[in-house]
Amino acid sequence: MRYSILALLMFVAPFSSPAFGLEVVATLPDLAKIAEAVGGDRVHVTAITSAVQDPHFVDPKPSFVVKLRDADVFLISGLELEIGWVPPLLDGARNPKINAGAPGYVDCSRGIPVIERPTGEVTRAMGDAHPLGNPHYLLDPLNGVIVARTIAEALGKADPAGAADYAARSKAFGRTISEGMFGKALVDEVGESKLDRLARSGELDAFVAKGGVALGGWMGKMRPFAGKKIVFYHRSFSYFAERFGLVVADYVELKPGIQPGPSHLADLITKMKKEGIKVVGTHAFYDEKVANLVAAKAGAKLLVVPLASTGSSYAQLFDTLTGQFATAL
Amino acid sequence: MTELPWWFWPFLVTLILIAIHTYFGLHVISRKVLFVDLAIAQIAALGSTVAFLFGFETADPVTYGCSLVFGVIGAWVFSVTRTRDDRVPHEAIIGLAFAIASAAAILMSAENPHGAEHLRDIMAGSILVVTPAEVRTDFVIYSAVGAFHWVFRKNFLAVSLDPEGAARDGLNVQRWDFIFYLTFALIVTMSVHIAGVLLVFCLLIAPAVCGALFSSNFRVRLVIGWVTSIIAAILGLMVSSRYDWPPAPCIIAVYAAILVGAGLVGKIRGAPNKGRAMSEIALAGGALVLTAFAMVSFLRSEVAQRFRVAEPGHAEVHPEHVAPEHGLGTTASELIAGLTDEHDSVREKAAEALAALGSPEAADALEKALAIRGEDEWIRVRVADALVRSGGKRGMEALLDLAANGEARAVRTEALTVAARFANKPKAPLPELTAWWKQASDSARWDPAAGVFRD
Repeated sequence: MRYSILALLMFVAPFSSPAFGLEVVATLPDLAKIAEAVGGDRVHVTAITSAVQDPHFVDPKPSFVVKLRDADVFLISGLELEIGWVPPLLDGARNPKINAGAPGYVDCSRGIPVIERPTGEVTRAMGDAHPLGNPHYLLDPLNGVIVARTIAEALGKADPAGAADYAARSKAFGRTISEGMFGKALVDEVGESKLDRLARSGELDAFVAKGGVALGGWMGKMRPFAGKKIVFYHRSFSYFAERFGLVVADYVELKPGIQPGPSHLADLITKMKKEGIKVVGTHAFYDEKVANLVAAKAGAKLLVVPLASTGSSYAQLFDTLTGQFATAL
Repeated sequence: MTELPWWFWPFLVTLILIAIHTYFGLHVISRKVLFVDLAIAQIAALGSTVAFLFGFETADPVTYGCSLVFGVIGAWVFSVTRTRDDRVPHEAIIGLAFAIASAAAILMSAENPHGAEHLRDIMAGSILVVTPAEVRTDFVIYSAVGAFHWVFRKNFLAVSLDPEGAARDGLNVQRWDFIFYLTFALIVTMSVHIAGVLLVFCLLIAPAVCGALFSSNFRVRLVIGWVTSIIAAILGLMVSSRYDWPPAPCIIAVYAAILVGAGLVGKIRGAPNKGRAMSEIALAGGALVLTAFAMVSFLRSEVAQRFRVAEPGHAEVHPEHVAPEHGLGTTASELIAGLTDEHDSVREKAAEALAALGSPEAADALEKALAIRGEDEWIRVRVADALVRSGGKRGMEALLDLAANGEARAVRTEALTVAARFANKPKAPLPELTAWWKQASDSARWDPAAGVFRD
């Protein structure tokens, strides 16, 4: 009996893995969602972290190493976001296909216009600062489109037979995001890459004002709140704020990853009252007590927003976020 | 209502903590169970982890009740394990309880992605964000516990200081031990939630140590402990305010200085030869300062060296991470180079700038740019525009083609508008322009000053 099970396993085992096609592992859930959209049924995607976790700190589990050992492609967010936990995992996995420098190791920050890159020397005294710039770039949907192209290229290299398929799906993904961003009517009228350039260069409003089709989508939804000031817990929302025209006036944290001291909080509350700031944004994984206190004292609303999509697609993240901000502001 | 200063509630809650913890600390020191508060806090945290596992939030009363139940179980365990058997010290059991409770909490949180943050939350209270309601609740409960201990002070002192004697006098030591740990668990669970593990441990043990250095009388020790703790709290909060550092570590750091001072005074007082004791201390202090100085200078030079070596090869800084607008020059040759840039926004801006320049030397490059396969049609419009203004008639053909076959309607409109302006027939429909260009293309002459074709 025991031997027959063993024989069965030996027969099945070699077939079980390749039947799924490419094994793709992503550090962040949104990278995984984009990879699924681009890869379709040619790939099998797993994410290491979940949407409610702080991606800066992850406790390694044995299953991570097992996942990475079998991976053909490994997608990381890059910009040193995962620097604390990815290198030891890669050491443990001993998979030459996805080691740093190998084609299967994909830094998805490639091609992203990074903001908030510190100038001058970066020291530990600055807290959990990111010397390569702010790594939370997926909060700008337009960056998600760039990431989809990067992933399509990487998947094409690992599976050349599917390259055309990946490219087509990445293009379709870009179209979906663009329609979500600007509204279908405007994308049909103008085209997605032109809108992308206009949004990035800040000329979108002037351009839309000249034409006959109104701005829709997430941008249209957030347009009435452009220029509004908010306070955020961590520097995680800069990309979202910049894209949708919100101004992050200050942070609850004094320095990234370092708890605030008393006079900073007092100054912050005074500032919020003076400037009429009505929203304090934070993530579920940060200490809610401090953010709550600031919001309550300044007469503002505490808004707990996701850092990654908790729904089935990357686009849903922006449905949620724009909905939350539009209600709160 | 006038605004209270930020330190008001933190200071008040620290005073309440000092009042009760100094007292309990003296018991803890006498019983030689220094880490019992850490163990009880961890067991209580395990209790709230269990509630959390069932879906209750950290702030829910059910969670709190659950942690109290676990605290009571811990109190019972510690009262029955206090034996007179010297082979297994009580501290060993307390240490093990701490380790086991911690491991169990981590295991329970392993399947819950929020777990790590939750664990951190339970143990890391902060007096900075204490609410008036919390201070009130604490005050009421701590007063009740304090009053209870005052009423039965003889029994509590007897079981802590001299359990054997108490047993001989007919006291049920195990029962009073249980009551002691029960009240202690109640206090510690609440305190840790408000002030964090570190500050609670410090306020428990440090005043008792200070008191023990100078007196063997329980009451005198209590007074010394209270006074030093209040001084530490005031100075600590002042330091916190001055440097904008979190208050709890500041209070602990001040306490460290007080302890060192008290220890030195105690040593000198107790030494037979005071002069010799002082010189010994001075020597040790000097050695410490020297070591610190040497370490700092070593670390400085080491870090400077490593950074210098690591800098160039360090990170994977991609040149593409720099915003693409940078680096586009203004001269014709720089703009021509921009036509083949990898960023579409740079190509578009280069074509726009070349259109404004209208320089014939760009014509060849623009012709090539027009032939780029798969180029975005908006950029093609700008390139065709620039090509016409640089004297290339191919640009006009491209414009008419885009006006007819452009994918986006806005592109067709834009191409048509530009072409009509070049033909000096604004508002002319596309068929009219196409027909005109068909017969005029050979003879038309570009007039750069007016920006139109002349027949």
